[in-house]
Amino acid sequence: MTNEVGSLSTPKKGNPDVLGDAKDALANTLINNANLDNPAKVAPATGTASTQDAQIMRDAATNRANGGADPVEGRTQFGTTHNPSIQSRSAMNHLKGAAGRETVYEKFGPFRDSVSRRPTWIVIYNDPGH
Amino acid sequence: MKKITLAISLLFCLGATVYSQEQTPQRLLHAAQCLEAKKFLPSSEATKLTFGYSLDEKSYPGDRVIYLVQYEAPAHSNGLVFAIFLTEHDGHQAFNIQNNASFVLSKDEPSGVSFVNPPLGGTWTQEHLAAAIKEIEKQPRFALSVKDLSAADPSLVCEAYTDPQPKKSEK
Repeated sequence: MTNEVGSLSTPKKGNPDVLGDAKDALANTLINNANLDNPAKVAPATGTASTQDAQIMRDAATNRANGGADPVEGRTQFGTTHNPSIQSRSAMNHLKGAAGRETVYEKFGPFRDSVSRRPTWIVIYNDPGH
Repeated sequence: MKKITLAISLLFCLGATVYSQEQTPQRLLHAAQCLEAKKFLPSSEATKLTFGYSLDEKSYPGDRVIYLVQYEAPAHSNGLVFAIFLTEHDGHQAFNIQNNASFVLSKDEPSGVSFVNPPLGGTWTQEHLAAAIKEIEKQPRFALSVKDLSAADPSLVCEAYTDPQPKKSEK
């Protein structure tokens, strides 16, 4: 998780809880992905997680292992975008309607991105067809 | 002056001949055939599509990923990018399409790439896709006929993130 979104931080005058909530959603999305038969590849777990990231990941794993609620209700796909009004991303598989689009389940941000000049949002997507 | 122009034109022609005669790598052909099989390639009147690719064996330790770009037109720098993981399935090589996006090259972005339709994954994944696009831009391009793309060997194993996928507990 740290490798995937480690470049994001709370902007000036922003609420730090938003990034915390985004990372909690992301942690649960990563857990759901790991529970798939063929999980999508994500950034390798190299480097050291920040104290906050490690705590969020540990809390999410403990919560789910104890049968706690999944805040993203089974979603497995996520992304980042500079588009504040994103409604969906195209799967670009030429299927019409919902089967060809991943609609936004939840969006968090804006965040400052150390590798881009533009504000960035974390997005949890619905699977294509949902 | 005319002689110099003629010489430069001749050099360009020779360069283009060498470029187009480079044999299409089998790995690229199979990856592109999987994109066609999974309906990820644009439907158009064109008889050939232009591709570039790079193989990354470092970013995901223990895994190999092909970054493949399909350019909108032979001389354009914008197009579609795909991340396709190579895996083994019962002795056959499988091509697992895990990510895609559309892009344009942009001087406004520090990475030099702007995603029109964003890829999946976080900023790390996007940085790797952008770096691959820039790398592929420097490599030879390959024109593959639409007919060849549709003529995949039946033993070719293609998977995509858009395939329905059960959870482990649903087995």
